[in-house]
Amino acid sequence: MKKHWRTVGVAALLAGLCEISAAVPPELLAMAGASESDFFSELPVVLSVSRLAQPTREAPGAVTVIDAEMIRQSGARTVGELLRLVPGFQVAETAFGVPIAVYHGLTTEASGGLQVLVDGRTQYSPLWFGGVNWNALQVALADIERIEVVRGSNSAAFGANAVLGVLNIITWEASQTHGTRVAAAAGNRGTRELYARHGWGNDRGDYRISVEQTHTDGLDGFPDSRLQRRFSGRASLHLSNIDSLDLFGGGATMRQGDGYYPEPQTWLHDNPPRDRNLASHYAQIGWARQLGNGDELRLRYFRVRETGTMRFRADFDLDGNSIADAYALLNYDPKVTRDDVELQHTISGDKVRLVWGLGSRRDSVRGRQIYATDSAVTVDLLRVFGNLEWRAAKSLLLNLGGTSEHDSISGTTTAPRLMLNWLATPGQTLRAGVSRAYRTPSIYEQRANGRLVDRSGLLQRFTGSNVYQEELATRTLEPEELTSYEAGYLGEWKAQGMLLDLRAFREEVRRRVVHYPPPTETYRTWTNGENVDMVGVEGQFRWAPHPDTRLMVNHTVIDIKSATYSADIPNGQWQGNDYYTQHSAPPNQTSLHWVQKIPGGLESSLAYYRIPSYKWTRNTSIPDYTRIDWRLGYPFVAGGRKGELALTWRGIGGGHAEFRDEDGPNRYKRQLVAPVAFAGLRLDF
Amino acid sequence: MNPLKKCFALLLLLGIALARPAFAQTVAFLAGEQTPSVGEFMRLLESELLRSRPALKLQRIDKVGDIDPSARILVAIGSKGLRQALAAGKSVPIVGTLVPSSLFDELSARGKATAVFLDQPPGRQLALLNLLLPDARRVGILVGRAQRKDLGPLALAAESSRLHLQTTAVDNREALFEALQQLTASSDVLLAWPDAMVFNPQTIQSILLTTYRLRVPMLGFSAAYTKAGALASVHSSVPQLALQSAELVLTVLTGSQLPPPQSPREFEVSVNRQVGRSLGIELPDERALVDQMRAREGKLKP
Repeated sequence: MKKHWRTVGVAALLAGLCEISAAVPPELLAMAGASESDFFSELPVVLSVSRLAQPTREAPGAVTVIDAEMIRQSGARTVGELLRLVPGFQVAETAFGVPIAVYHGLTTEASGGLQVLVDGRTQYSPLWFGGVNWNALQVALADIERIEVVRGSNSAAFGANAVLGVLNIITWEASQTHGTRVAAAAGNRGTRELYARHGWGNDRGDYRISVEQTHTDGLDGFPDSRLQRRFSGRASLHLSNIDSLDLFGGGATMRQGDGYYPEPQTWLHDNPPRDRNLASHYAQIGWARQLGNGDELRLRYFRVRETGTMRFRADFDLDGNSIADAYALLNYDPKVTRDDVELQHTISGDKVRLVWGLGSRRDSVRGRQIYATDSAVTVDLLRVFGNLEWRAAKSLLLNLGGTSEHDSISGTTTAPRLMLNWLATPGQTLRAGVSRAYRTPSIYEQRANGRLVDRSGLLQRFTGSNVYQEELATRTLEPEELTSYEAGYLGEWKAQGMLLDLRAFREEVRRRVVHYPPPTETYRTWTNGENVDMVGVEGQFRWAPHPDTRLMVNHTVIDIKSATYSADIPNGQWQGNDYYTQHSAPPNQTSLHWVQKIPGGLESSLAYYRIPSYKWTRNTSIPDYTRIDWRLGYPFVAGGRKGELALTWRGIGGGHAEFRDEDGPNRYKRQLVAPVAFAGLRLDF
Repeated sequence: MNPLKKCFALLLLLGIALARPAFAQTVAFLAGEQTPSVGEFMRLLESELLRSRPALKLQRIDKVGDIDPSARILVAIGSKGLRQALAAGKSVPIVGTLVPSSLFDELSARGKATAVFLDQPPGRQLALLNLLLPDARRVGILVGRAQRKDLGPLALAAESSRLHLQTTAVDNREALFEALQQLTASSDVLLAWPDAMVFNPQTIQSILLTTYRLRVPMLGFSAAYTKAGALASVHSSVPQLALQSAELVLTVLTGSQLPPPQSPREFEVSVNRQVGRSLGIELPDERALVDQMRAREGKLKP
């Protein structure tokens, strides 16, 4: 603009009356900043009803939450080990696999009765003889955001096989794990770990992939080294402000050593050292729609495929005197496919909340060695569930719910629950209720036909048949029934940093399945044949006397009474069976956990366990033992990157057995836990 | 045009502008962006103005250049509208509506325009905070670095309420999550601040999930925030803003000096009962909250 002095003068005169503003510089126009759209635009519903955790005091049961920080501080390498932090659970390090865990005794060869879910996918596997394969859980520990452990029957909400409890494992939301993380650990006994994860997001959604490899040599005296590899991916797509799609996919492989080292001076090789290979893959898709006012609709489908491979030659001794000539070529190649679809609808109101849904599952197992057929053995499951939560008064909460399931082999079961929560004061809650739960027998217990076929001809000469029957299902079993009476107390004193969680229970098991050898037969079979009553109290006390100090004490007291009744079981075995069941949980157990921040930025986490003697299986027992685990962590920031250096020492002192203490040849060898020490480094980018 | 002619034209325009016809005053409306909220606001504002002054002439324009030369006021609706209005440099007084106070300062509009702001006065937000979370002392705010200076009034209000304000400024979205984690870990409550870089539909998921995981409630500034997962929000509805804007326009029409910009007077509170329940926070009735907050403001007025 050309300026003439005269114009400037006149303009200046007029400036008082007119307003002359300079043109706004383009930079200011381009600046982002707030606008009316920030105030009026719609936003996606993030804290939907399924993401909002129920406050513990309102839960219709005893819930213990293990969060990512507790997982990190514990130094645990597997999910089973984390259950040492929960009252009422028994965990044991054994040969041939990661630690196994059960709740309130009643151990079986596979942890039937405990429902384990990873992002809603049940880990209860027909491949593992109807139990949870703790070895092959489809999740890396570092991907877990939290585990909600429901102690006590929860068939009413989680279906059959949540008879004793539920482990609800929830992985991090993809939007919470942006960036890259790598971690590595190495230690004695072949302990090696590698983990890498990358997460990112854009306007469409958030994504994450993670991979992991772990290795261990296992216990002394057993060929039980284990190498595991896992990869998993998660994607959350924001389809609209009310619709979201969650996709999960992944796989895992495991090479687990199995068998026993041959004893010198004998030629018995019926269980030679060999590798057991397991591979599993899964894919899951879930759609959620927010219907407004806290109402939600969810639809989920997942497919899991598991295959196992284990081949070896077993030589066995027929008459106890001669060198074995009989052998069998064993080929355990089970394949399992599982398809599951579920619909869930949540309706929230001021005083009432209703969750209901339908689901269907098909399990298909193929395994010649286990089922004596090349065809697939299939089980179809249909379920309907619902739970009504009614706030009867300001401080009274009533939960009435149940699940009805139809299993194509075992029939229909209906598991109801009634629970009353009295929120007496903001810090004190009392809870009382009754529920009924069922454990449907596994495909294995209902259809097993495990036999060895002798290739040498020797067996034929002695017995007239070249088939040696090991396991055989001889009848259709009824579901086991558990009635649970529970009273609970939750006390929180926030100002003092204290929390007390108590659960008193009476659990009555009826028609428990017993695995026994019928007289004059070579095989073992199953029947509903035992009634068990369990009474006890378990609790947890937490105290943070100082911001840098956290203490936790768990204590469980339990008494188990058993009565075998079935005429199918030889009378002479009744007492032994009852004795085993009655000693399947220690009469009491205590653990103490102490997390302390140490000057210098260090964090120490110490755990101490005192476990009296009990029996895991009929033929094993352990004397009293104590165990100490310790972890020292050093979180740091280097060059703008966060990380942590950690030293972990588990089973300090060692030399004790947690599963079998008796020593004998071959399969009866003592399983001594040896201390494992490893150092780990983690970096975030 | 030669400079002398320009001067003449200016004087002529001025003469016309000051002519003030006895009746038929024109009010021009410039909406930068047409959204449903803006449309609703315009309709309500126009109907309210016509209700008080039926003789008023209302003109909707798309660009400032189209403005009726006899227009007495230019009502700029929305941020884009205000930017355009100020950029045009016309002599007509500007009333900004549906604009945040930060934009006003950014455009150095004081003296050149007046407005009814979108954002609540800081004292009101803190009053809500105090009513819902009486034990909260540490208030966390996450803003983009450019917005940091806008927090002055809030910081003052916080001090007088004995609250400790912790501000974290981020430069970009990547730094956001890390900063959020740290800020949330040391706050009792998080206050959402209208900064599009920090709080937008893409980041809101991560923000709410992180604050929820750490059991720290968030207070938002719109009903959509409450629905998304904020514990509660205080906001003014379009009808409430339209009413206040109409009053301001009428004041400007009758007065000679441009009154100072105003914060919204009427407001609503929305609460998320599901979130409150999950966090163990007692949430009173929304209307009761508004009444209590109004009573507090009434007491503070001189």
